[in-house]
Amino acid sequence: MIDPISETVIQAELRKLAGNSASLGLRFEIREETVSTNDDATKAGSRGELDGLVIVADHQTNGRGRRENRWESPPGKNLMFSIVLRPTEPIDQWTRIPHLIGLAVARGIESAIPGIQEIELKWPNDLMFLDRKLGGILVESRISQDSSGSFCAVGVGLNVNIRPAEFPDDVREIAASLFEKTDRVLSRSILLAHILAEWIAIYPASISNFESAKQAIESRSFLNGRAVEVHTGSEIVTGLAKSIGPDGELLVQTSEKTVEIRSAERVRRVDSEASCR
Amino acid sequence: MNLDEIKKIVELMDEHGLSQFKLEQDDTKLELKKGGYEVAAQAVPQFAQYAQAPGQGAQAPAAAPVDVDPDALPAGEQEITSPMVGTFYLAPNPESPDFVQIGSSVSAESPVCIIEAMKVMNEIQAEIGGEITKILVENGTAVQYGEPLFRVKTA
Repeated sequence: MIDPISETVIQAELRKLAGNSASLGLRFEIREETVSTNDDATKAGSRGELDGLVIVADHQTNGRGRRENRWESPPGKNLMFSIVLRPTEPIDQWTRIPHLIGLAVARGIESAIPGIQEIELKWPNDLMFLDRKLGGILVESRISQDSSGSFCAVGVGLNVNIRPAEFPDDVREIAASLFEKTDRVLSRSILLAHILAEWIAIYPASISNFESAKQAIESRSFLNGRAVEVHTGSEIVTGLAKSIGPDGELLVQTSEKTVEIRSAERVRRVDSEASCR
Repeated sequence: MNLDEIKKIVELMDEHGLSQFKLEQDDTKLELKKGGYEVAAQAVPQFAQYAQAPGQGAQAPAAAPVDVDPDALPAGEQEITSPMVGTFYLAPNPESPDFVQIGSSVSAESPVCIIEAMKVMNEIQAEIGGEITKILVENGTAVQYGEPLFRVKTA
C-alpha cells in the first residue's frame, strides 16, 4: 500500500489538532525525492526563508545523521522532514532544541498511534523504540554575528512503514520501525501533523524555559539510571547516567565525580548488549 | 558593573600579565582581550564606553610589547572567536574537505568551521574578510566561549 505525503492531509489534521497552519506560522514544501531535507532547509534559511517552513520528503537519497552516519530510507516508507527555525534566544540555548523536538516527536507518535506508549529519548539525538533506534534528529545551524541572519535546520528521520526485513543487514538488529508494533501502513501525513502540533505546544514555551520540559524529557530517557560508556573523542567516561543539565548536557556520575558531557562521538548503555548503539 | 570595577580588572590583568578575561554574572557579560595592539570589547556597553575613553584601553599598545609575547596578535590581523562552548571541526563532515586552510581567502559570510554542542552542528561564519594566517585549534577538540579559532590578515 502506498502512503503518499499529502499537504492537504497534513493541513486538515493539523487544523483539528492545533489550528490553521498559517496562523501557526507553518508552511510546507513536499518533495518526492531529495538528497537531504536538512540540506534543503539550510539552503532555504540561507536565502532568507522565514521561521516555520517545513520541508518533507517522500524519499531521501542521502540523509545524514550526526557527523558521518547515513540515514537509509527506501521510497515511500519513512518520515523525513526539516523545519527552518529562527530562534530569538541566545545561541547557547539552541542546544535545547534536539531535546525539545525529540519530546515532540515522541508525543506526536503516541498521540497519532493508539497503543504505542514506549518512545524513549537517547541523549543527545536518537529516538528509541523496543530498545532499538527508531529515528534520529539532526540540528544544523548557521551562526552569523548579525543574529537576524542566524537560523537552524531541525531535521527528523523516523522509521514508520519500513518492514524489519527491509533494513540493511548491518542495522537490522539495532533499528526499529513503528510498523513492527502496528502491523499496518500508517499515514505519514497524519503522523507529521501530530508531531508538529506537539512541537508548537512545546517549543515556544520551553526553549527559554527548559525546566518546564526537562522532566518530561527525562521521564523518557533511555539512559538515565543506567550504566553508560561515553566516548568523547579524547576520553571514555564510564558511570551512571544521572540526568540532563540546564542546556541539555548529559550528567554522568563516575566513581569520583559528576561529569558534564556536552559532546560525544558515541554513547552506549553497558548494561544490555541489545541496546548498546 | 561600573567603570571603576572594569578599570580595576584591567589593572589586575596588567599586573598579572593576563591577555584575556571573561566574566558572566547575572545579566552582565564582560570579555576583555588584550593583544599587541588592541583590547577588544564585546557585548557590554559599559566596556564599549571605557574602550573609547581617551588614553585608556582600546588602543593602548604599551601593555604588551609584541617582541615579548609570541602569542600577540600581529598588526593587521584579527581573530575569529568561538561564539559558544563545543567541539571544533574544520570540515562539515569527515568525508568533506576542510572549510579553510592557511592561506584561504575568506569573506564575512564564508563558513570556516563547525562548533558542535550536544549534536547541534553550528556552522560558523568568518564575519571578517581576509586571508587565514593561522588555525589556532586542533580539529575535534573542545573550545570555550570566546576562544580564538583562526587568525585572519585583514590588511
